[in-house]
Amino acid sequence: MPAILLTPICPHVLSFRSMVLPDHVTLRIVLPESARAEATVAFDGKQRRLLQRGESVEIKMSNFPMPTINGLDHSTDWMNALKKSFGYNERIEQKPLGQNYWR
Amino acid sequence: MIHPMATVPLLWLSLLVLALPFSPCLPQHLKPPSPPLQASINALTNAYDNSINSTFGITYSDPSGVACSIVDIREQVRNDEISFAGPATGQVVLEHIKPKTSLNILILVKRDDPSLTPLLLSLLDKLTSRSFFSSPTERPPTTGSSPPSSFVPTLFFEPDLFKSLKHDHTLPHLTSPHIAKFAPPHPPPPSNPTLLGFDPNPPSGLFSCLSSTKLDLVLTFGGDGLLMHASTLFPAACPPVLAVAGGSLGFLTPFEKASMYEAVLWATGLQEATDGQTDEGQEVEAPMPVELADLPPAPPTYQFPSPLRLSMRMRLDCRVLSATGHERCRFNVLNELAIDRGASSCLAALDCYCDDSFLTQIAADGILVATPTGSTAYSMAAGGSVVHPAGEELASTRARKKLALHCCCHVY
Repeated sequence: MPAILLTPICPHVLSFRSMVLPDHVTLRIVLPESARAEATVAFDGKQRRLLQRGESVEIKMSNFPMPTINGLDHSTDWMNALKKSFGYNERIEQKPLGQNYWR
Repeated sequence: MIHPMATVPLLWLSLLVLALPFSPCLPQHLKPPSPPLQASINALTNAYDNSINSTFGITYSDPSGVACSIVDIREQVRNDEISFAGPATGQVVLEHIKPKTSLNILILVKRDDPSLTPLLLSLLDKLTSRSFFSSPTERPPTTGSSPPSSFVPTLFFEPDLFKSLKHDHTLPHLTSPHIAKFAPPHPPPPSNPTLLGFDPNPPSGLFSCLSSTKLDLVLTFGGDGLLMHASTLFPAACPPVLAVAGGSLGFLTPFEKASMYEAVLWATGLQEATDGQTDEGQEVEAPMPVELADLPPAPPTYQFPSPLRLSMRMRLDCRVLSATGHERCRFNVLNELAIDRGASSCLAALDCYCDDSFLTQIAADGILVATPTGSTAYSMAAGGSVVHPAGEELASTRARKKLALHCCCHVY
């Protein structure tokens, strides 16, 4: 779905839950002057850069998506990939109860 | 099974139109629709308005609060009743509307993986030793008066692979003009058409102005990381990407390497030319290199679905700004932007603003801003939600058809 996800990594406060924001928002993340240390920023895990105090990162939806061709359709491909790559929610199946269990 | 309402023909222009209302600061290149398209939009809007018999209406506004006039909205008012015209998201469909007379494919292969080489060579051999004709979607090739002209697709490679192909192997057709090097120009030669759309480090002013219209398809033969690489090659408009699994995880690569050749033909709407249609000089079948003959026999033919469907993978436009607002760097990300404490032992302390309103102060190891594609990567490991990669949908069936009819001549 057209959405931007905001996910904290190991937040210090337990009420900081991940958020799903609409795609039209512009996010700005600022490293304040009062910060104890500098931060680093990585784009797709690459191009790592130092973020100095006072600097910020502005993030918004790009007007250019990457169109990838589906093997079947977007839902089936995605669900198959979840199952194949991550074993999504795989568990040992629960046995049915016996015929006379509730009697 | 896909609901009929959830199928929308892929139209670059219509998608741009949809994006307009939410983009108060449009880049220079995003000009208003051309006059014919605007006329169509006006006619469409009027028809839509006339069907409403209500004392009030609904429009969208951009974040600054200015109401925008847009082609069609999902929330509709008829007889003072508010309803949805349909789902907000849907499956995007790609149609090849015009027959092609040439075809350019960029082939990206995972680096330093010799196990992929035999299959790659086999694909190259098949694509360059035969000739093809283009058959547009749902319009079978005419057998009557004018047989479609056949051609051999042009294959582009990154410089490293091109070099190694040339030196390490002796493909019979490697010297043909249908294999070419795809390289970033330094400095860009202005008149070289094959280099359009390729600039890994575009100047920020030109960030969105590069065109990729010269490439019909990008084939990635590797893992998800190669898809990220492909994304960096096209920071602006990106051609459709056919992702063939050749890596380890393969979350984003739905195609099997065994049926790679068939997948390329299917994705580009090509058909092998029969004997009568073959170009002169192409009829002589060159001898197969020894290593190709050793390949396992082709697997049973995989039935590719029709129509051809796409996931429009949203990317994030990220800019690092100095304290004075000067842009230090800019990247498009396909998965996520990560800001973390790096080597520091202190918690990262960051202020997060959403549309210029203060959202929260972050005290954490870091923060991720992820796309739906990235929702199953780092964000998932950090406990984020898993989000379906569906694209947005034009709500009204009528609007969809109108735009489809109009835009056919603009797309492919």
